[in-house]
Amino acid sequence: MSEIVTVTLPQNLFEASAGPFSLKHFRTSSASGFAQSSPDFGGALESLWSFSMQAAPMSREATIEMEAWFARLGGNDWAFRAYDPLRQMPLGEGGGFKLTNDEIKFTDDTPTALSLCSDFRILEGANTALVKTLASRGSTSVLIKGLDTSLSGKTILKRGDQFSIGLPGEMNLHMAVADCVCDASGEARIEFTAPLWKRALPNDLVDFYRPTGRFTLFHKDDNGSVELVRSAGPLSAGALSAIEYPYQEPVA
Amino acid sequence: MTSFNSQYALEEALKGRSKNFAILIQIDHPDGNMFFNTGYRNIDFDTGASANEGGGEQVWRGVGLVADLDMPESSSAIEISKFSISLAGVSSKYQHLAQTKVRGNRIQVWIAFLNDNGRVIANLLLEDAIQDRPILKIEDDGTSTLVLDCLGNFAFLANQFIAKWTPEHQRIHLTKLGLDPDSDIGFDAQHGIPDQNAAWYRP
Repeated sequence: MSEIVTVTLPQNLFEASAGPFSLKHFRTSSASGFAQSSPDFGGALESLWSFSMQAAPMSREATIEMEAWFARLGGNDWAFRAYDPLRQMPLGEGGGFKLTNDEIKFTDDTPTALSLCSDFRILEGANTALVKTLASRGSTSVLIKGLDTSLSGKTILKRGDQFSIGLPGEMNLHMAVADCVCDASGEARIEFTAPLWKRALPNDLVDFYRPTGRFTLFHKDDNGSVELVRSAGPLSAGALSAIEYPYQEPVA
Repeated sequence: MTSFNSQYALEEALKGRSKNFAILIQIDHPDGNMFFNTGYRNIDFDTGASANEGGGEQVWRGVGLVADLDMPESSSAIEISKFSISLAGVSSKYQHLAQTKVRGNRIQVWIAFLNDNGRVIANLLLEDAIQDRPILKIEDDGTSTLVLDCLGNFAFLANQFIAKWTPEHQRIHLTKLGLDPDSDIGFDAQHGIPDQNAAWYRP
């Protein structure tokens, strides 16, 4: 059995539905799975991102692309990275970046570019910052650096904004729980939830634009307990229900 | 292993009926010990054991690797009990467990109470057992599960207090209190009843 393969969800094939990402609370009620939090269950309490998406009405090209995507997974244990289609940009200033006026603009339609979701062109400013000091696993705040000093006094992230943190390609999704203001030296402290799954090392990346998390499909049985589905297979009726499968260390 | 502070934390966790806990499992193996937990989040935990017993802070891996832990019902019987642990989505890393002789190696199971950030605030050793036999199952859909049978209850045996209160214990207790150890003969008599070959009949 191979290790988990992480791929990028081709989100251009899915509709942005009314139900964006939500942070759900689960308990590992037994060793065999976990259930949405209920007073009756005992076990470790975790907050995990979850979402459902519906495949957009597909053209012939899109159908072939979707099939190719599944075929590429080749029966591996797999997970995928995705961003919230309704929260691609923060309400705050982020890194002070500006996008082109014509919103969706594919810079390149090669599989690599698409897999990196690089179909927006950033005109100015940065969409990222760096971690300044180490934050251990379980931390709920992190000090970031490298913001433009012109952002001094401005709110980088508003309460509820999402951002991702980690190494490029291995980022976990978090949500700011308080407004985060840039200081005169281009630093800011973000208070967030859920607690860090993986420690943040100095110079790890913090991404404000289309922040991604890692997800896997799940199966929910009648009594609400959840089982991870990590093998590849076509989507039933074009719907996709996913739950966070965060990067942790050592890498799983 | 259990200092005053951690004992206090454990009592607080139990009194508060904390539901935020995970089961930690240490599987000893000649190629290197393995550390798992039944939760989703990896947990840093130091059992307090010496370095050559796998002590020091370790990362106990979660993310649904432990598919099942079939622990026996608690009982006061002094006996060796069997339990098993199933590891799901077993990668090649763990298949060596099925391919090498593990019988006789140690396996320990803790319950760890966690704070909101997933850090261990109190713990208790539930099982100190030996591994018996691993079975690797590969299902039709390609998922693999490793089931490891274990012989347990040694922690219970080691911690077992005297369950019976006998006249001998009572004598010791009375002496400690500065009382005449033979002052209560009623308990002696009552305790002696099972030893009597008494015939009960209508006079």
